[in-house]
Amino acid sequence: MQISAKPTSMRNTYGDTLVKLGATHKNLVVLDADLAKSTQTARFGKAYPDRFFDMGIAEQDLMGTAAGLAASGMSVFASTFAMFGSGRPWEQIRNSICYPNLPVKIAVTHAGISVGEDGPTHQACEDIAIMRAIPNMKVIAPADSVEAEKIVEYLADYYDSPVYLRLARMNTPVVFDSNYKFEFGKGIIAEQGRDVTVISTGVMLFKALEAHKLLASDGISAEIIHMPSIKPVDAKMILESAGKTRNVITIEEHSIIGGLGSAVCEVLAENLPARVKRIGMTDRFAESGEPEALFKKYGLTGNNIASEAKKLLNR
Amino acid sequence: MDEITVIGSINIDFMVKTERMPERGETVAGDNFYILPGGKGANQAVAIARLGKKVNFVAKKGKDQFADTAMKNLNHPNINLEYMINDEALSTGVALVNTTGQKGNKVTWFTGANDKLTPAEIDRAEEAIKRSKAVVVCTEIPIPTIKRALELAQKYKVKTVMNVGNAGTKHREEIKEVLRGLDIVIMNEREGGYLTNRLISHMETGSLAGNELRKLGVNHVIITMGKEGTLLVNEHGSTVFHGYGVEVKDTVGGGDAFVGAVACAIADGKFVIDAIDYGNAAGAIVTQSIGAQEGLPDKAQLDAFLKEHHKAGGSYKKYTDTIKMLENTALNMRINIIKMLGCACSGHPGGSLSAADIVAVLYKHVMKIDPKNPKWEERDRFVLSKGHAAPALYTALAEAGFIKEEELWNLRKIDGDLSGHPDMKKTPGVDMTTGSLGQGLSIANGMALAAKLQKKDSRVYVMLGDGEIQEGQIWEAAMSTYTRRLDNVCAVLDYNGLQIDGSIGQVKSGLEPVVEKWKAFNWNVIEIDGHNIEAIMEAFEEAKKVKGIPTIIIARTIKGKGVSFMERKVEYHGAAPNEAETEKALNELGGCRCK
Repeated sequence: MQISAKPTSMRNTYGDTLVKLGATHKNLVVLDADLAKSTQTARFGKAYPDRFFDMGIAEQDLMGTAAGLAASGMSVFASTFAMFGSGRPWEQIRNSICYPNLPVKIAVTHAGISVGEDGPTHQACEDIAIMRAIPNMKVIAPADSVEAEKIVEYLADYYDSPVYLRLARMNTPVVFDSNYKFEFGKGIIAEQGRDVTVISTGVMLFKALEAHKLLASDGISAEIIHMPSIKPVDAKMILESAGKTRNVITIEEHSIIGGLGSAVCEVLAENLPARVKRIGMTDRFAESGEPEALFKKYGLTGNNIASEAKKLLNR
Repeated sequence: MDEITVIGSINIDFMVKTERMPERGETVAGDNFYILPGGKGANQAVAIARLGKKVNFVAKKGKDQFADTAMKNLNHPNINLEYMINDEALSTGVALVNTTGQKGNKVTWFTGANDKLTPAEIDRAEEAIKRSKAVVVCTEIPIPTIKRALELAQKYKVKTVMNVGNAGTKHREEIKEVLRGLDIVIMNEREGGYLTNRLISHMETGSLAGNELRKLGVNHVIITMGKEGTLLVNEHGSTVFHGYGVEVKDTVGGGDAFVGAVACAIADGKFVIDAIDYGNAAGAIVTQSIGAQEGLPDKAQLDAFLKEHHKAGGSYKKYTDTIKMLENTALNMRINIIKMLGCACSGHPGGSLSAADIVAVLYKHVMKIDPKNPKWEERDRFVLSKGHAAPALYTALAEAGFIKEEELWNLRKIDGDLSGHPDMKKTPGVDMTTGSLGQGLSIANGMALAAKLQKKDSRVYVMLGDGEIQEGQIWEAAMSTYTRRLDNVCAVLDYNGLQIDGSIGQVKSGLEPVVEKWKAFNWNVIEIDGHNIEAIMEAFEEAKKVKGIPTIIIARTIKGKGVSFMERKVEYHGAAPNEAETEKALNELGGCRCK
C-alpha cells in the first residue's frame, strides 16, 4: 500500500463531508461545544446555520441535547475535542445516549498525543477504553481523510446505535483511495505477510506501513492490518492472521490499557493465545511537543514497531 | 309583573347575507339584504318583553327615516317607552352587518344618538330602576351613563347585568372601571379578549381571562364562546356549559337573546348556572332565524325547548368536572404509587407523591398524546428528569391508557417492563430514559429543537427536582433553552424542599432565590401551589401562550403528599413502605390493598 507524499487533514474532510451531506440529508444536524473552528464543523454551520448548534462550553449539555434530537429522529453529529467529548460527558453518554441506544454520532477530533503542543490536558489517550466499555457504543478511528470521508458518509444514514468517531488533529498521509468501503467489524489487510502481524488503528497506519518497509528490508514479512472498527473488532481477521504468524504487534495513539491492544488481546486470549506486544502510551501521561517528536519519544514510530517485531521473532 | 330596566342602544341593522366574509379589497356578492331593527339594548328589551317581563327601556334615537323601523318590535305591551328619548337633532345608530350564517358575523357601527344618552337622562328613570328586579346595561352607550345606571341600581340593591360589546374600538380601560360591584358581566370571547388583552381560544384561556376580570370586582364573568359553549367564572371556579347544538342560520342576536334570558332568570331569583342554561336556550332559538329580534322566543316557546332538551339530559357540563376528574386521577395515582412500591419493596415514594398532581394534569389534560400510538411523531413529550419519581409517571401512563394497571405491580421486577427508573425502550409512553439526575433539560431542549426543525407544534415538558438543579448541567441547559428561544419547552420544578441527605438548604445552600435564578437565566417563571389542580392547569395554559422564551413552573409541593406519615419526611425519599405502612397509607387514601 502506497503512502502519499502530501498529508491531508481529516478534520477539514470531516467538515466538508458534513457540508456535502447537509444538502442531501435534510434531517442532519451538527452540534459543537465552542470548538467549531477547530473541529471544522463551522463549515457546516456556515452552510446550514439553521441546523448547526453551538452549545457553548458545555459538553454535558451538548450530549444531552444530541440525545434529545436523536430521540426525535434527527441524524446527529456532536463534535468537540476527544478529551472533552469522552471524559467530561461520559456519564451523559452512557445514560442518556448508550442506554436508550440513541444513534448520536460523537465525532471528536484532536485525539491522542498528536494534539502536540497543547500538552496532556488535551491529549485524550483513554477515550477508546472508556467508550469501548459502554454497551451499545461503537468505536471507529480512521487512518486518513479518504477513509474519514467514507465513514462520515456511512454514518449519516446510520441509526442503529451510538458511534464514537475518533479523528486526529494532525495532517495525515493518504493511504486509501476512493474504492474504500467502510463496514463495522471489518479490518483491512494493508499488506499481506507471514512472519508477524502488525495491527494499527487511526493515524498509526502509516507508521505500521513504515515498519513494513523496514522489516521487509531485513527479510521479515509483516502482515499489516488496519482496524478502523475497534468496536466491534474484526475477530475473524485477527485470528486468521495470528494463526498464521503467531506473533502480533498492536500500535495505537492511545493507552495500551483498554484500547486496540486490549481488544486484540481479548480476542486472542480467549481463542488463540499468541505472543502480543502492545505499543502505545504505557500507563503514563505525555507532554507538550511537536507530534512527530512525541511519537518518537513515546515509541509510536515505524522503527520501534520494527524493533519490537524483531524482539518477538528473536531476531 | 316583575320589571327589568334595560339601559342601552337602539340601532337600525342593514344586513347582507353572504356565503363568506370578504377579504381586504374583495367584493363578495350577498344572497339577501335586510333592513331590521337592532341595537343591543333594543334587542335585549324585546327579548325580555317576549319572555313575559315588563321592560323599562331607556335609550336614545334620532329622528330620521329609519327611526320607525328601529321601533318596530319595541311597540310591545310589555315595554314601557316612557324613558325612550327622541332627539330630532341626531340620527339613529346604524349597524352594517355582514352575516354568513353559521360562520358568524361582522359589524360596522355608527353610534348616532346612542352616544348622546346622558347620566341626567338615567336619573329620570330612577323610580323605574328602584322598582326593577334587574338592570341591564350594555357598553354601546357612554361610560358615565353606564356608571350612573349602575350606581342607581346598586343604591336600591337591584341586580346588575352588563353586556360588553365594542371593547376593541372604544374605552377598554373605562369599561374595566365599571366592573367593580357588578353582579354579572357577559361578553363573547372576542370582546373578552380585547378587555384582557389576550387571545381567548378555548375554555382554559377563557378561564384565565375570567379570573383576571373577577379581580376587578365583578361577581360572575360569563364568556360566550360560540360552539365551544359558555364559560362561567365565579368564586366556585370555572364552569363550562355546552351549547344546544342546534342548526344556526344567523348568529346575529344570539348574544342579546342570551343576555335578555339571563336577566329574566336572575330577576326570578334563579341561580346563575340555571340562568345561563336559560340564556343558552334562548340564544339557540334566535339563531335559527334571520335578524336579531325576529326569532326571539316567548316564554312558552323557551320552556318547551328546555323541556324537550332537558329530557335528553340537560345542556351543560362543568369545567369543574375536569378538575374533579383530575383530582380523582391524582388520587388513583397516589393509591397505585403506594401499592406498587409496597409490592416492589423498594423505590421512592416521597418525590413520586409530590409530583403526582402535576403529572396527572399533564397526561390527562395538557399533553397532546395518543396512548394507542405511543410513538406518534406529532405528540408532546414528557421528560421526567427526576427519574426516581418513575412511579408517578407509570401510574399516569396507566391512567392515560398506555399500559394496563396490573402491569404496575411488576415495578422493579426482573423481566418486567417497569424499570426502577424510566426506560423508553421498555415502557410504552415513556419518551426518555432518565434516572441520572441533571440530564433531562438538555434532552428536552434537543427534542424541542427537533420539533422546531421538523415544523411540528409539539411541546416538551420536563420535570426537574429541586435537589436535582444542584447539578451544573441544568444551568448549562437553561442557557441553551434561552439561546435557542425554545418557547416549546416547559419545565416544572417539583419544589418539595427535601433531598436524600436532608432539607435542600441544609445540604447545599444556594437554591434560593430560585425564582430570581430562573428569571436571571431569561426564563418566564410561574409560581404555583403544585397540589392545586386548577392552578396547575392554568400555569400550563399560560406557559403555552408565552412566546420567545421558555417557561418554568415553580411548583411548591409537599414531599410525600397525601400520606400523613410520609409528608415532609426525608426518610421516605428512597424507602418504600413496609406492609403495615402500605396498609396505613392506603387506608388514608381510601384505596384497598387487593391487587
